[in-house]
Amino acid sequence: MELIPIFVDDDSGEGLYSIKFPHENECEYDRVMGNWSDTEFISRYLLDNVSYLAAPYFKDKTIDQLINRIGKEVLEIDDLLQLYSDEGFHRSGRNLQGLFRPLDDMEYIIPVYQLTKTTALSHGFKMTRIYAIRIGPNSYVVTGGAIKLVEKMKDHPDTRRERDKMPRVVAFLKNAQIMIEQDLKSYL
Amino acid sequence: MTDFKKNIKKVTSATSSNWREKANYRKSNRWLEYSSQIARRVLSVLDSRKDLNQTRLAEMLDVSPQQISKIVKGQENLTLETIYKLSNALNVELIQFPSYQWSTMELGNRDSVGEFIGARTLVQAKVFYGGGEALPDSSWSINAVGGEPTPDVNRSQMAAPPMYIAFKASSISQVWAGQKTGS
Repeated sequence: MELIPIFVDDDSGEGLYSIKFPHENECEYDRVMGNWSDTEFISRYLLDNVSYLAAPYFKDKTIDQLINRIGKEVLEIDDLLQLYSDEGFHRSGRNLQGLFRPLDDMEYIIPVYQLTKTTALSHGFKMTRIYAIRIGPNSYVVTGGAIKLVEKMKDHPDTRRERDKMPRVVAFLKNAQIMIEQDLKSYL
Repeated sequence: MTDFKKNIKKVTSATSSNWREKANYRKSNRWLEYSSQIARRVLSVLDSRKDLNQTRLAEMLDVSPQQISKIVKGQENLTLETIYKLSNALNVELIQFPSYQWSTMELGNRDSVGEFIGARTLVQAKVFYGGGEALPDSSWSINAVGGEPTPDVNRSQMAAPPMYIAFKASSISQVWAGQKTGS
């Protein structure tokens, strides 16, 4: 397991990283964005999971519309990362903590190694999620992503797998003692 | 160097993700959306045909399986020739052409043809004004209003919208006559 820089501040080392698992050819961020940009992958995925698309959440939607939606979200996530990367994520008042929110919607404190998620910013119906672990207010490690077909992550094997990956990455980060020091003082 | 920076450096690759390059590619090549639309239709036909798969399709089109793979991923900038060959091989239309003026005009229908001639002469008026001499497109001027030939063009007045001038210039029949003279 290793970290791949997505965009990082040279002085502090803070920024957005992605985990790369030993058995994968690319980091998780590149892998999920690549899959979501692949019409064949998306089509097959939706057809393989067509039983989940019977949920009221997808009422009146077609496979074609869902493919369009995912394509649009990829472009929105691209824009979002470019915004943070180009206009600063450290000194401009904007920080990555504003981009990621707790995986558990009911979590009101910020624990060390918080499990988080982010989505495209447009309002309404969103299908994709990117998961990350917080290692500081401006430092996150992407652990993967999923097309969200169910409300609870535990209700679909793919989101469950994504959830299960996160503690493994946390263990790796803990072992490497990767954490912002001031963050520890604040929350211990 | 802080402990954070030191520790994270130890487990971080020296090679960064090329996400930005890919994001820029997606952003500046919006034809990818068309490619995806065609890919879906190809995949849908392949799914419904037991006698056809990507390998067989590659043989039929005399292209590599890699190219078919790129097509169904929606990442190929397809030529018209390839789209045409794909359509033939799959026996399905992959693109459609929207109807337009010539496809909706019913010949022999007086109203339809009259409407068509009217639209056409409004455009042609500016070309044939000037006593039957075809003036260059840029010579359109407000002086043409009233139907007088306009040999000396006041170029400062050319900003007027052509359709407006055409409307003021003459009736459709007069312009149509001018068009006949000019041609």
